[in-house]
Amino acid sequence: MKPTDNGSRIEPIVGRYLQVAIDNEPQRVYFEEAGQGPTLLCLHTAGADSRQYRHLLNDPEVTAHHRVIAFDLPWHGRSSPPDSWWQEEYLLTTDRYVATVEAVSDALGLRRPIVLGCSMAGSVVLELARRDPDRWGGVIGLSGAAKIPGRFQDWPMAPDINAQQVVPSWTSSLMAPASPEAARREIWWIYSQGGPGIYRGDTYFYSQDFDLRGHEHEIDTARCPVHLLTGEYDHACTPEMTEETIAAIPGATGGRMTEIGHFPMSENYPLFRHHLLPALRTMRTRDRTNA
Amino acid sequence: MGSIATPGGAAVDSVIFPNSWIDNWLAAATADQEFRTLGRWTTLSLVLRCAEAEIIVDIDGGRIYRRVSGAAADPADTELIILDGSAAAWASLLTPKPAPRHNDVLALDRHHSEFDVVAGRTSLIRHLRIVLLLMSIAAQTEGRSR
Repeated sequence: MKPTDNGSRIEPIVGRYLQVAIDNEPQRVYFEEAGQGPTLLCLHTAGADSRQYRHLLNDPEVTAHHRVIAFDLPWHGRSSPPDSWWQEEYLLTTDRYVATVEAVSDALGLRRPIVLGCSMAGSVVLELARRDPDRWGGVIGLSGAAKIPGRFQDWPMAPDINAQQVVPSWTSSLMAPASPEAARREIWWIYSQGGPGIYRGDTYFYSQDFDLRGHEHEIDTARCPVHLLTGEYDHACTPEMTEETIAAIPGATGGRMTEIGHFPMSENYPLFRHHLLPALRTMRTRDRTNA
Repeated sequence: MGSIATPGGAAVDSVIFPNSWIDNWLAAATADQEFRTLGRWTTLSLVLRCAEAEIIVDIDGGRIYRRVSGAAADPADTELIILDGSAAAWASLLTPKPAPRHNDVLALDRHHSEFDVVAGRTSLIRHLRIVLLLMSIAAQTEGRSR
């Protein structure tokens, strides 16, 4: 969109709501999109929302080649929790997470989207590829691995702890100190707006329920390519964890990113895109060839 | 809460936590708007320990003080955090450009065998925002040999 004289402009991102049943339960899901071409479906981190992808959604080098879609999981951002949400303890499971991504993809009529996920979503993309490789054009996982211990904590629900400030501070520790401060603070801000217990419930998936160890070889990268990247400042999912997973998945690619932490697409997008653009180019070329 | 003094009083000097550096650190914290805002709701004693060297700072009502020389951490303090590390661990943290997995207290606690939160884990979580801020200011503070 052309800027005006005073610098104001309307971004090309459009947001809408999707009514979709997930595991036979009606959900109202918010999603944003920009661009045209093969779909790049973006999944946010634990306890956050799709705002983390605003830089990518505004990158013309990406949107010239891809329809980029980012959605808020139910319970996150502008997606509501389901009816009677107060009658359950929110704990995201692997089955529920996979069902959610598949249901949203189907409801939007997506055909073999490339899935990009970070943190817990960087891990779930592995399960998506393992369970139904032909459904996806490829998966790119950031800050994900076969097993990530230690992130599930009970203190976010403790009444004497202000989770609105502690959860974002806890996660801010995972960023590279050289990443731009404004970007790091924006991530903190998004985390401060998560619902009570949602970060905790998401990390139940990330650190408790999900464990791909011993099953990595079941991923068929000939049908669904896998590319994994982790920043060197990430001390939740270390680069070594990711590299071990890459080594255990025949045909998987990727590695570590220097000067980046746990939130590559939002903590330092200008640096991250140098890793992302070649991976996207490879995947869309390969999928076009296969088609 | 134990007795307090303005920085640079009769405190014992140490190589790892030089008095001049502590003076600079506390002055920088006092001048920091984010610290002053958060500190209004904070009552906390923070201990940095390295072998025999130990400094105790008290944060109360938006102000930060060093406890006088000879004062010890008081277990009766309701919010007491003791961070204990080797000289190498502290040196890796208190630098403007820390290496991966040495960039803050949580990273060191998880990945550095020579660093530990020896008391006050719950207090650390409760006061995490201000502790990380204080340590970030400390890392940027001049006055330590690097």
